[in-house]
Amino acid sequence: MAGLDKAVEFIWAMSIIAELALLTFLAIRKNFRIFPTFSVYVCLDLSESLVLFIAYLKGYSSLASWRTASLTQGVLLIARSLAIVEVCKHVLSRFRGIWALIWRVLLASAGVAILSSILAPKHRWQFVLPNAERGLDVAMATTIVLLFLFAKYYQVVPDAQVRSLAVGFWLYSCFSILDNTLLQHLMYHYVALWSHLNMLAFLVSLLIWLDAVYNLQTVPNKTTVLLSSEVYSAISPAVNLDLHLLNQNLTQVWNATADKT
Amino acid sequence: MTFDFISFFILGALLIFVFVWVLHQPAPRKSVSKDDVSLEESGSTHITYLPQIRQALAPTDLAYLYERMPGPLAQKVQKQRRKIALSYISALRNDFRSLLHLSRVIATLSPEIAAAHEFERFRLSLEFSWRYLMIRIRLRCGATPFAAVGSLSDMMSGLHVRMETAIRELAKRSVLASELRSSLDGGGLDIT
Repeated sequence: MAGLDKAVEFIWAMSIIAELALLTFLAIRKNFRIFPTFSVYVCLDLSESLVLFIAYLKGYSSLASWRTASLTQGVLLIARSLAIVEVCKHVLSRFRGIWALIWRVLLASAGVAILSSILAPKHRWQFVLPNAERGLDVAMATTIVLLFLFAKYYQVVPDAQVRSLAVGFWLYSCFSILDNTLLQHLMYHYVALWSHLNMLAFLVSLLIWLDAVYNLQTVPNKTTVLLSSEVYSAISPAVNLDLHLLNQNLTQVWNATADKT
Repeated sequence: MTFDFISFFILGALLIFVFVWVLHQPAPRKSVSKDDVSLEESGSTHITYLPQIRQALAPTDLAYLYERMPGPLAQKVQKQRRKIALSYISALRNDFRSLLHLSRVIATLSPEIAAAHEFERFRLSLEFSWRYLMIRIRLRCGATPFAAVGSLSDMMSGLHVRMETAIRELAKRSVLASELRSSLDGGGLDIT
């Protein structure tokens, strides 16, 4: 294809092979039932490759190609966001109580991340799309980090495969943030390298997902036996009160040490 | 280099650091389950040694020692007791942590939780950690807040009594839930 160098073509071909393998494993092992949104995301990405292939036949730098690429990227960003939501659900949703709290926190932090990423930089029309993309990437990366922080805080250990899926998404999002930021500062010298590195980061993420899906057996429907809600409502306020008193007591120790020193 | 470039660079670095930290911390043995709510885990309490510790840290006891012993020897004893105070508050922190762990397990296994309680507990645990650190520093600098440490122990003792009562209740429920679970053969249900 005119305008695409060999390295990009090679990474692109490798990505398509990896995506096909990923979809095959998802289909054969019926894991698309466990990760339907993730499967749709991979399908859409593969379809995007096909659409772009046709568009690039008319020329890599043409306006039509650019518009097609922007549109498909938008669709893929939304699909990726939904796939991340699915991963979050797999990690924590069976713990209904904490999930009800956590998804709200994640949603709020994602909203803040998107807004700050779009509004913070100086407005230049040519960077509206990269800024919006970067905003979503910041939101996705932040959401995944917060998800794992919450899981750690509540001592929930995610399955290794689900963790790998999250790591793949996180890696790609982080790399896209870095890429879009550098693009704005080194625009004229960086465009070619930008597309190379972006595609390479996606290929690495694909390989991580491939490994996760390959090792993902048909996961049994996990059961979580929950306590009755009275237990929490009886214990939680009492514990908080005790902790509060304990802190007051520590303050007294603090004051005593201050007096003695 | 502009402000947004630097801020995104810092944000990226922070995300990487936190993520690597979260993934590389020694993970708990297993995911949280009802089995975590066991008496054995929270039974190792340092409050058991409270009477001995209180006697050793009592200001009257120290005054008595100063009356009966030569100065340098009494100072040596005081120094040793300061060490005891240090290791004691360190043990109390472990108790605090295990209680906090238990409360998190209860929150995780509850079908409904109150956001306000969770944020409050998080804030209190941060406060505890900060004060604990400061007190340790002051104890190392030579302060001897023995009476205050003793009252801290009282506080922990009360907390333990309440928590142990709760744990017994949970253990009973856990047995009931296990029986129910085995009778349903784990068919994808959340038994509340």
